Amino acid sequence: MDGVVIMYVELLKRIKNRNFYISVLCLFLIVVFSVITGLKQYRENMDLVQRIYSNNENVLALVSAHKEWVGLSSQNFFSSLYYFLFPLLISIALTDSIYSEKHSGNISYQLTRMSRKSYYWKKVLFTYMSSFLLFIIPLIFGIILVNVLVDQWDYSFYSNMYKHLINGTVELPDNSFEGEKKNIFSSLLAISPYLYILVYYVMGGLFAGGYVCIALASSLMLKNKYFVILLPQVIYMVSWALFTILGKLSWDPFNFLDPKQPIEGLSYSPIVIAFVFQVLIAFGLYVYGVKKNDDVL
Amino acid sequence: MMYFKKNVYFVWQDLQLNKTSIKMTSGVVALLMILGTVPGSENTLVRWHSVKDFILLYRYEFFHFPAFLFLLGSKFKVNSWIILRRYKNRNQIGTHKVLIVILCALFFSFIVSMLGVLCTAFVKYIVYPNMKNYHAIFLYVPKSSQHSSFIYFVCIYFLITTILGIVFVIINDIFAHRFLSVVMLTTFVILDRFTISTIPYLFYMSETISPIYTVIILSVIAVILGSIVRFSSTCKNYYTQDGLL
Repeated sequence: MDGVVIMYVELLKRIKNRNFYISVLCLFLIVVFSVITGLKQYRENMDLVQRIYSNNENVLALVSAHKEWVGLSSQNFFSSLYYFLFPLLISIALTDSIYSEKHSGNISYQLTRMSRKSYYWKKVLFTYMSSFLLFIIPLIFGIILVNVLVDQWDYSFYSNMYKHLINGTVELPDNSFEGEKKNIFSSLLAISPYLYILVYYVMGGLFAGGYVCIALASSLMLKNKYFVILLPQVIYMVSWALFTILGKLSWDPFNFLDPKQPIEGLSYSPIVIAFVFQVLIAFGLYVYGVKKNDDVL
Repeated sequence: MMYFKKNVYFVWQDLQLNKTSIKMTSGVVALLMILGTVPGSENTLVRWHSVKDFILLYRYEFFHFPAFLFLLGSKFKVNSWIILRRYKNRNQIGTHKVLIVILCALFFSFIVSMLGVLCTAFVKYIVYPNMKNYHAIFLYVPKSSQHSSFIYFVCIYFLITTILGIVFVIINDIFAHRFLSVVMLTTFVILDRFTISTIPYLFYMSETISPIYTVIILSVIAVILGSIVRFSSTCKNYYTQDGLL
């Protein structure tokens, strides 16, 4: 019960913070713009395919509206922007929770009322969970928005066609749809696009939580607030540059978190290893930071 | 003119006060540039033959500019009381902001160009002469028909960085929120790359079309934006804001 109360108080603190609203507003705005441009592309594409393939049903099934969900939408600036800026946008809302309490002295009051262990544990748990939700809720809103605007909720026609496509049992006029085939999570897409995108969104949410927790841990050691809040974005971009330069593209979160699967040679093991590594770093840094701050009370 | 000298001194003092951000930014830039020259990095499909190509292997919009914003933003929050004790009028505070941008841009351009020169010299003169096969480090192309001017590139790099830095100051003045300004400016710069591509044009094309005009126009834009910051700081209502900068 005590834990729930602390979480509720944390939530109230965040809701009374201007940064939280800025972050949420930016995330939702990007999603809305992405949906608008995506649907424009979808209508143009549909029109084009109808004219070129003269209403071939197999082809029309493959041009589905779910491809305009944020993340899956190709050639869409705002969809890519969401996946480029999410560590910073989420970090703005959540990272400074310990930092501000430490610098205002509020932490001392709280630590007289609860144990250090409980305080720091609740902080990291709340931050991880809320960054997960903050990443995932705008994206789910994007799915609902696309579905409402196109007025289509059932994509089983596409998944059936996809199943035939990967089995090679469908007749298509040319091979321009070969790029539809996904390297990983392909079986999920054959069941339902909802399942496929959900796996990617959950994966992105877990990584977003990891990035924000690393920044939260660093806020126990660094003095500059600007550093602390920009740190998730810095880690994300430096790892992007590093893996690109070393030619290990499938190890880079920037590539494997993208539902479009923009590169060849993706596999499951780098994702799991990167996730475990990230959680270990976050946890290690946090424990170190907490130990370093044990003179607070 | 008298306070201008003081201004430069104070900005220099601010830059020296917190060296962590300088060390971190130059460390990361150096690390990535050096990594670009070691074996194992030849997988990337980018070739270079001049210092400019080498520096822009990491795209300006995605790497150099965010790194600069990281440096500038961390230097930008100065204690209000220090500012109040230093300066007599608001014009001077405006000049202080512009000078921080210019000095940071100078420093950043210097670091990037020096590292670029050192890394390329390392490959060209130490690695390349003894190399038997053509799997050159980071796909170095020894001969090319295009010989771009390094001085011109550094000049353009500095001017673009300064202009974007001053735009950051202006956005920050309007919204009084550093992170929002970072998000907005990064979005605009990346959007520019996908739409009208002004920055790639300035880097790659302007040299062959109208180099002198480009430099003049960019300098004029920087001066105009700098004066906007100065004038806007005189009209700003400081009584409703938390911080001066």
